[in-house]
Amino acid sequence: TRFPPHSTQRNKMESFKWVLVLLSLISASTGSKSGKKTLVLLENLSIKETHSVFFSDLISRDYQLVFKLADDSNLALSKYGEYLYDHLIIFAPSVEEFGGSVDMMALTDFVDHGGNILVAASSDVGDILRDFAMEIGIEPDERETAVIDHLNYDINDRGDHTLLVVDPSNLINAPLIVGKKTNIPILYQGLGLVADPDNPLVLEIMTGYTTSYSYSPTRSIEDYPHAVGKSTLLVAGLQARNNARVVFSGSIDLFSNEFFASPVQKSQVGSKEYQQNGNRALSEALTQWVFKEIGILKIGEVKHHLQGDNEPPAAYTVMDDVYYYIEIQELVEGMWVSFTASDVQLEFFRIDPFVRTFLNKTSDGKAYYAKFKLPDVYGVFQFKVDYRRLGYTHLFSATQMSVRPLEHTQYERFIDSAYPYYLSAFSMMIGVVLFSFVFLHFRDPNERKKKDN
Amino acid sequence: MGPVVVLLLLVGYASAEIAPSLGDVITSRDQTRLRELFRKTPIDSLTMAYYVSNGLRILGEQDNSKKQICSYIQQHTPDSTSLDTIFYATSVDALYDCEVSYSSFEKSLKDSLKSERNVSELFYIVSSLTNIGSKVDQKLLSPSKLLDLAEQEESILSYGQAFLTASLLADGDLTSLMDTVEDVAVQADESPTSIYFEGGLETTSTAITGIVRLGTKTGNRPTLSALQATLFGKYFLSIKYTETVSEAWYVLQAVEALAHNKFFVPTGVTLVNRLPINIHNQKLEVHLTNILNEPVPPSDIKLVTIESSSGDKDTINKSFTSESDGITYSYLLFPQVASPGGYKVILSTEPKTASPVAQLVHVELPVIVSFSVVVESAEISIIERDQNVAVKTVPLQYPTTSQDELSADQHSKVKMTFHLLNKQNKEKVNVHQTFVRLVSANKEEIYFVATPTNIGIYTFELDLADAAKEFFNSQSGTYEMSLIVGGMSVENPFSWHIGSLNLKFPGTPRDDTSEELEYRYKPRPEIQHLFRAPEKRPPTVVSFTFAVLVMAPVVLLVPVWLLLGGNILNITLSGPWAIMFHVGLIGIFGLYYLFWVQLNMFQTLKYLIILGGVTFISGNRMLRQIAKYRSA
Repeated sequence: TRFPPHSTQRNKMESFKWVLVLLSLISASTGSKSGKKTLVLLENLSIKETHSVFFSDLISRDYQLVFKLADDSNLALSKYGEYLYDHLIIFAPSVEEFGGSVDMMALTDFVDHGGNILVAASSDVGDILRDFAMEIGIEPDERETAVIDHLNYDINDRGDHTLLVVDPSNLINAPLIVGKKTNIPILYQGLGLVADPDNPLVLEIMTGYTTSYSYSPTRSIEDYPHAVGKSTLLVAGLQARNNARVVFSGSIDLFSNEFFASPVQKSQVGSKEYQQNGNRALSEALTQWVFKEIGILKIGEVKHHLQGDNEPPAAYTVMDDVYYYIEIQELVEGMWVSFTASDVQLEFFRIDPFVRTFLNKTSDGKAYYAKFKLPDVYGVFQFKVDYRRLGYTHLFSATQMSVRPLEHTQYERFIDSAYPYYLSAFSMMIGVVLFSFVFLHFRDPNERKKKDN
Repeated sequence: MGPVVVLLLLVGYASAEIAPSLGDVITSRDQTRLRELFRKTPIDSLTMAYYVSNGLRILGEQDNSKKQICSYIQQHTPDSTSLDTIFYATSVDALYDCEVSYSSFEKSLKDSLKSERNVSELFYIVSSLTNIGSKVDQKLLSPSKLLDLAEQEESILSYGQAFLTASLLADGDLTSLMDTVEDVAVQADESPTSIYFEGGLETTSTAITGIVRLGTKTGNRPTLSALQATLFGKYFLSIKYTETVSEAWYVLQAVEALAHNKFFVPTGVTLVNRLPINIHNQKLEVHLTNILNEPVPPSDIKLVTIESSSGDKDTINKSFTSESDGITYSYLLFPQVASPGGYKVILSTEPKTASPVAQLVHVELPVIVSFSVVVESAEISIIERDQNVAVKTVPLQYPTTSQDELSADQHSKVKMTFHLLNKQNKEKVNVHQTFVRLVSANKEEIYFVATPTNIGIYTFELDLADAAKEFFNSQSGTYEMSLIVGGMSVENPFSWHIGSLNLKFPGTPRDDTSEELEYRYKPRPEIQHLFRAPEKRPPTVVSFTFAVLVMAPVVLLVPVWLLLGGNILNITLSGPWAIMFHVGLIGIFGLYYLFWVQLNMFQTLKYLIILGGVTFISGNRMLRQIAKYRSA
C-alpha cells in the first residue's frame, strides 16, 4: 500500500484535535455572550461605594461587572478586533478624556458593533461625554449649569432648586423602558439635555416640567437658556439602527445610594410625602432596557401559500387568496417566548404598499397569520413585516415573490350577456347541418316528373 | 478644596487643633433606616449574627433581636477549624450573654497561636480568646511579632487588624505599633472631599477602629490629626446610604470609633432644617454634633461672615445662642440680612473646655433669605410697528386671567411690562426666572425671557415680524400666554395664565410632520386593495331575450322549409356515405362544443383529424355518387 498504516491513524487523531479546537471555540464564543460582561468606568473608586446598591442590583441580575478608573492607562474596549465587553457603564461625569485606547471613536464604534452604553453625567460634565452625547443626537448644556425648577423641587434641596421631584407623568410612555406605571416621583439633580430635532432615533425618556429650565443657578439669566420647559431632557435614550442601545442621564446622583434611600416631597405646601422614591425602580427598568434584557424581538419561521395549500407556489396569480404566517418571539427572562401584540401589521408591497392589514394570532398562540386576496396587479411583491415600537428592537422581515396575470383559460367562461353570441354560433352550426341535408339531398319534384316522363 | 486643606494642615500644627466640619452626620433618619436594614436581615450565618448584633448595639438597640440571634448561635456551633466563625460566635455571645459555653475552644485556640499564622487569623484567635474571657499575654503573642507580620503582609488591612489585636493583648510594649500609625495614615488616597485606604471600606474601617482602640489601650494619642480624622469620617459618611449589611456594619464600627474616643472627635455643623429664613422663620438654627449625631462638649459658635451671592461680604463675628438641648445653636439672622437672596454663612466653633473636639474654622452653610413676590403695574399692549404707538393696552391683575383677546399681526409688536415687588417692604426685586410661555392650539410651547430694564421693572417685547419664522414657524392662531416667575429666594413661585393672544403671521408654516415621523412607533392605517370594478353589463333579461331571438331562425327553418316543399328524398341515392358524412359533420360541431366547454386545442385537433378524415372521405364519396347520379 502507498500509506503506512500509522499515517491514517495520525490523520484521525489530527481531525479529532481539530474538532476539539472547534468545539472549544464555539463554547468560548457562546460563553462570552451569555456572561453579560460589563465594563464600568468610574471617575474615582468611591463612586463604587456611593452607588453600591445600583451595582449590587446589577450583579444580582448576573452581570459580570469589571470596574476600572476612567483614566486607567490600560483601558481598551476591544482586543485583536474582538470586543471584550457586551455593555459599558460610564459613571465618570467630569472626566475630560478616558485613558488607554478609549476615545469618542472607540465609543461610537462600540455602539456600531452592537454594544450598549449607560452614561451618567452631572453638572460638571467633561468634554468626552459631551462629544459622545452630541454624536448620538443629544446636546448637553454647559458646565456649571443644572436643571432648575422653582415649582417642583424637593424639600431637601440645598437652596438652588436643582433637586427636582419628577412626576412619573414626565416619563416616556413606554413601560419597557421606564417600568410599570406608578405615581411615585423620582429625584433628579444634574444637567439639562436637549434632543437634536434632526435625529429621529433619540427617545425623550424623562423630561422636565413646563416650569423647568437649564441654567447656572448662580448667575442671573442673560442669554436664552439652553433648555426650557418640556423640551428640557433629563434622561435621553437612543436605539441605533443596529438595535444597540444608549441611555444618557444628565444626573449620576439619580443612581446613587443616597437618592435611592431618600424620601421625596415637593416643597410646595400640601405636597404629599413619599417615604420611598422611584429612583431604584427606574434605574432597574432603565438598565434592563439598555442592556437588552427586555424588548428584544426576533423572527422565527415565515411561511406563505395559497389558502388551503401547504407549499408556496412558484408564483401567485392575481386575486389568489393567500395565507401568510410569521413567528415572532420575545426575550423574556432569558427565554424566547412567543410575542403577543395586537398591532403587528403585514404589508403587501411593491414600491408602495398595496395591502396593509393587522396580523391575527394563530389559535395555538404561537404565531401570527393573515389571510387576504392578492390585488389585481401583477409584478414582484414582498410580504413585509416592519414592526417598530417604543422599547422594542426593530423587527423587519421581507419575503419576495411574484404575482403573474391570469392565464387565457382562467378568464370567465360563460358570460350571461354573451349568450346571444354563443347561441347564434350554435344556431349557425345547426343551420349548416340542416342546410347540408337539404342542399345535398333535395329532390326537385319537377325534375322527377321530367325523369318520370 | 485642595489649598484650603493644605492651609488648614499648616495652621493645625501651629496652634490648637483645627479641622473642617464634617458637613453631614449619621442623622436620626439614617439611624432609623440602618436599624430597619439590620432588623429585616435574616440571620442565616454566624457572620450575619455578628454584623446585626453589633450594628444594633451601636445604634442603641439590642433587646428586640437578642432572642432570635441567641437562638441562632445556640443552634449553630462554629467549626473548630474555622477561626472567623469562632470569632463571630464568641463576639455575639460576649455581647448578648446567650449562655453558650465556648470554653472548649480555649485550648485549641491557644495551641493554634503557636503555629504559623497570618495577622487576620491572629486577630480572630485573640479576639475569640478575649471574648471567652481568657487573657493572651506576651508569651503567647508579642506585639513585635504582630508588627513584623503586618510589615511582611504589607497591606493596610493587616496593619488595622494588628492594631485591633494588639489592643486586646494583656501586656507587652505597644510603642513600636503606635509609631507605625503615622506611616499607615499617610498612605490614604484622596478623593475630592475625603480620604480613604485603597482596599475600600473594610480596610479603612478596620484601620481607623484599630488606631482608635490602640490609642485607647495605651492612653496615648495616635498620630492622626483632627483633619485626617474628619476626612476619614467624611468617607464613611459617603457610604452611609448603603443597603448591604456588611457595609453598614463597617461604617458603624468606624463611626463609633470616631465618635467615642479621647483623642479626635470629628464634629459637624448641620442646618436643623432647610427652610429659608424669612419673617416667619427668623432664626438660623444649627446642630453641633459628633458623627453619630450625639452632643459634644459645649462650644462657642461664631457667625464670622455672611457673603451674598453677588460676593458682598459682611463681617459679623457674633456668637450663636446655645439652646438647652445641648446640640442646637441659633442666631437671629433676619433683621441683619434684610434683603432677600442666597448667602454663604461662614461659622467657626471653639470648644469651651479642653476636649477631643477640634476647633472648626470656615464652616460654610448655604442660607436662603426668602420673600413673597407680588406683580404690580402689569399691562400688555399691542404696538404699531412703524409708528411705535400703542394700539391697544390692557391692564393685567395677578392672578386673574384677562378676558380680552388681543390680536396682533406682522405689522405690530406685543409688549408686556410688569414690576416685581417684595410683598413685605414693597421694594422692587429681580428674580432668576421670568419666562413668558406661549402655548399654541396643538400644545407647542414657545418660551421667551422677560428681561429687567431696571431693578424690578420687567419688559417682554415680541416683534411678530422677526419672531415669525424662528419661534413660531409662521403658525397663525390663538396662543395661551402665561408668565412664570420663580427664584431661589422666592417663597411663592407661580405660573400665571395671563390670557390668550391671537397672532397672525405671513407665509405658510413649514410642515414638519412627515408620515415617517408620525407613524414611527405606531401602527399605520390599514389599506384595503381597491379591485378594479367589473365592466358594466346589460341586464340578463335583454341578453336572454336576444338569445331567444337569435335561435328563432333555426327553430323556424324546418317548418318553413316543409311549407315550401323542402325534402331530403335523394338521400337514398348516396346510400351509407351520406349517413357517414352527416354523422361526421354533426360530430365536428359537437367537438367544437366540447372545445368550448372543456377540451383544449391539442385534444380538439387530435379528435378533429379523425373526425375530419372520416367526414372528408365520406363526403367525397357521397358527392361523387351524387355527381354520378346527376350526370346519368
